[in-house]
Amino acid sequence: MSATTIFGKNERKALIGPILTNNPIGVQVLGICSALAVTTRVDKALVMTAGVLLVTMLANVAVSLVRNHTPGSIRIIVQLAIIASLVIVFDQVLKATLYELSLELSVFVGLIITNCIVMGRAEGYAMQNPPLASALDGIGNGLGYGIVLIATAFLRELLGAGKVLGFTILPLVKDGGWYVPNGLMLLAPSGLFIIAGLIWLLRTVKPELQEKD
Amino acid sequence: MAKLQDILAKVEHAYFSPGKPLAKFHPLFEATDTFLFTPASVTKGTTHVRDALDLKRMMMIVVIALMPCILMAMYNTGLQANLALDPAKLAKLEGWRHAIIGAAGIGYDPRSILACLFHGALYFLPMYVVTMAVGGTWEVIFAIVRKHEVNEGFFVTGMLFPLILPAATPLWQVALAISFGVVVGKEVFGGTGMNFLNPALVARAFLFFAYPAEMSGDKVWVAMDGALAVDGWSGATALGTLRAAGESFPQAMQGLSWKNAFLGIEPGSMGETSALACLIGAVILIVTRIGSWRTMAAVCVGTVAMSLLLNAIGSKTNPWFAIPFWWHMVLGGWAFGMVFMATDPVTSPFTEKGKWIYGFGIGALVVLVRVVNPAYPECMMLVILFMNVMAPLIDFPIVKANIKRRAARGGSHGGS
Amino acid sequence: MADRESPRYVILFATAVCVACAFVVSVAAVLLQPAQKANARLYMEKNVLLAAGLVKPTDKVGAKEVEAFFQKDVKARLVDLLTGELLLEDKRDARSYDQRAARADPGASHAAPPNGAGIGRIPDLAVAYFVMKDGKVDQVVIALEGLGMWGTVYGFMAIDKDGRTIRGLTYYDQKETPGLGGEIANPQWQALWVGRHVYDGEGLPKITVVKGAAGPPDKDPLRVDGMSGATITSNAITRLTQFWLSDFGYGKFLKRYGKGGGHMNPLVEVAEGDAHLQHA
Repeated sequence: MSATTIFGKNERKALIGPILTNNPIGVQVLGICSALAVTTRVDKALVMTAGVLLVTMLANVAVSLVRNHTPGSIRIIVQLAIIASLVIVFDQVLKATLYELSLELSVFVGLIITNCIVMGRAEGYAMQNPPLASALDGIGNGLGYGIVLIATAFLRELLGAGKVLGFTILPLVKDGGWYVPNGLMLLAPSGLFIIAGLIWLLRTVKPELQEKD
Repeated sequence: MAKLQDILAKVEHAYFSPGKPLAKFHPLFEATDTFLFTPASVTKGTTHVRDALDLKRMMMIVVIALMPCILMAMYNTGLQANLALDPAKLAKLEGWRHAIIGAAGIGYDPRSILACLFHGALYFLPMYVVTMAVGGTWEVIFAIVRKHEVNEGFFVTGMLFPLILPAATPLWQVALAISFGVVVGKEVFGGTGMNFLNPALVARAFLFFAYPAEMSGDKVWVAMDGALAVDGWSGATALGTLRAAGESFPQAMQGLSWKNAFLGIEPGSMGETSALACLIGAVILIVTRIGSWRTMAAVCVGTVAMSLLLNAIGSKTNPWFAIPFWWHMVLGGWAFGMVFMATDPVTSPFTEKGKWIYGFGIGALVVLVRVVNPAYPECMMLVILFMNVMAPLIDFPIVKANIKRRAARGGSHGGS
Repeated sequence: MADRESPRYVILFATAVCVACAFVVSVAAVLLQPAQKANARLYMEKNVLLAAGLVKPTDKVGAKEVEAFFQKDVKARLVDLLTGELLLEDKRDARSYDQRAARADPGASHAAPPNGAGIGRIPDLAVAYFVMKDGKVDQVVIALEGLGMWGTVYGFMAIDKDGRTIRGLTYYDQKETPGLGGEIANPQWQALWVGRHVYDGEGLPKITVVKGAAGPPDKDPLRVDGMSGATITSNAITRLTQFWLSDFGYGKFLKRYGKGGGHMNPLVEVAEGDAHLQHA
């Protein structure tokens, strides 16, 4: 078996697709809730991305491994149990390693359980596909989510606090600079405005994504 | 006149019709043309379905109804600034506005109506110009991209927006906010008539949340540098003063004059302070049937009902419970919001029953938030935005019920 | 393979999944708990050092650095708030004392008098961190908490050996409005407190966050600049600070500590020149 058959067309599609053409936030409009809450700073968005990526990937692998043994009647609850366990473990690891960030992310790490992307991929992809492809699909979707999240957080941190990853880019007036920070960017609605703007932009550039009514 | 129309038609044919060099900018031409003459085409948007009047004439009447508020905005802005100014520190005044006042030799006498009007106009007019220029640019950009005519709706938005701004708002913030209001409040949803939020209020709320440290507190309401003010001067609004008073609430309340609040001789957003000016506007809007008397009446009923309820409940720790409704009606943006914002035909419900519910909701909520929530004494705009969001929900069951009733009536006549 | 939809199989499968998941979660929780506890304590203690000005907000401070301070110059002790006396050091380890848990425990706390700071119960014992300099007490860091505008805020305040001059302040756990009340977490605003006095001439806790600007500390020692647009949070901070400095809070202790004038020695349980403490 050559490498190309392991990493075939399907696998590549599973990995690359969700990043751009089938982006979970931008196209499927999933996972918006957490995207509003954790995008005030880039470091928070990075940690959240890592969480969703790992959980989606591992949940996909686990669900895929037991897919041929899972009774259809309880498959959703099985997926949920797997996802919830993974999220709790990630939360525990976060508290043990990046304590201050975990304080700020507070409930939103736990809320990865309810992130539609994770559940959607487990039910929609991993139930039908082998573990490797499922893992790649998980990574792809995690990255697709992460790209939008980090882009949003970049704008919010830059415009809201004049910083990126804690480094000052736009010196603030109160520190003797010229930039008046935009407080709206620190509140959840601005996350919506930015993400909605990104979706708008995406659909204007690629009109085939627009639903016809 | 006919000659002018003739020339315009020729210009349109030569330059702006499809295929001609300036075809892209047809919306610009169209705007000029219809500003002078009646539009050639009849529009079909929801705004028009809701009201039989020509949109442009409607806008003109709103602007006329706003005139008392505009005059009051300029007078009071100047008056508050002149009252605050310590004459001993005259020499320290800087900036182009003071250069103009100096050049015109008008001075800063708070007793002179002219001096106050002049000083206030130097704040109001630039904000108006910036609003129209920036907001208008966005309108034109969207009109060109979407290939439709520039909409007149912005005339009213552009007039309303500076009126609900505090006098000391920097012009760059005005530009930023109106951009946000027009794009996110209106164009995202497809332009005039399609928006479910009032763009002027969206722009105002943007400023409130984006620059909270500057847009609340006591520095923004009066166009005067605190360092140049007379001793003991405070630029806080009446609601702000009461909110900050804490335990000395009764004294703070006594320090306020109902007459001044009614006339609008107090710090506040430029066009909002005078309940009297809003009342005149209300009369004009109701007589011409441009503004819905139902909505306005419902806001009053809601405010009176909620105030009486809270008066009756009472509170030992929160003196705001005891504020009577006639005070609520002259404080903050209540009067202006009721007359000019709540009645916006696009963002309020279009059923008559719906207007009663909608207005009552605004009137009741504004009192509730003022009394119970310490964070937002100046909450009128947020309450109206909130009810804007609710408007389609209010209409929905009423329309459904109407359809049902009519179907039932049809049935009784032996129909299907 | 057994019928996948038979009740027997479904129950067995569900049980197996639950056991596997429970195992993974339990293992993670047990293995990581020590690290989490250490992190929580590290975060608190880092903020004690911040309040005392021993580290700067921009410093990267790890477990090692914090531990070094606590081994050498910083002594954590417990204060009996009812009497103002220090608890004997070997009675209870102050560094592992959980003041928030104690406050919630009816057996380790008492009811607070009516107050505007949203404080319902007062822990019987409260932490105090003595900061030593050349073998003598230089300042003491006390814990503050109370209701802000949106939720409870937690902080530390460092007080000089004179018992009244503020040496530093932090708020490390708060949910106030970003940009307005959230400025209580801004080191620049916190620095405005340094050098001001918590008590007036009669020993009453009068330090107040005012609306607008206060004068320089030496001329206007009992007032601190307010945060613009955040009157509610400013007033809340005034109330909670005054509460914890009153005799219901650290008041009794601080008066005793102030009299000690830096001679109160947490190491030998007594403050020279303070007879009361010798009975402790």
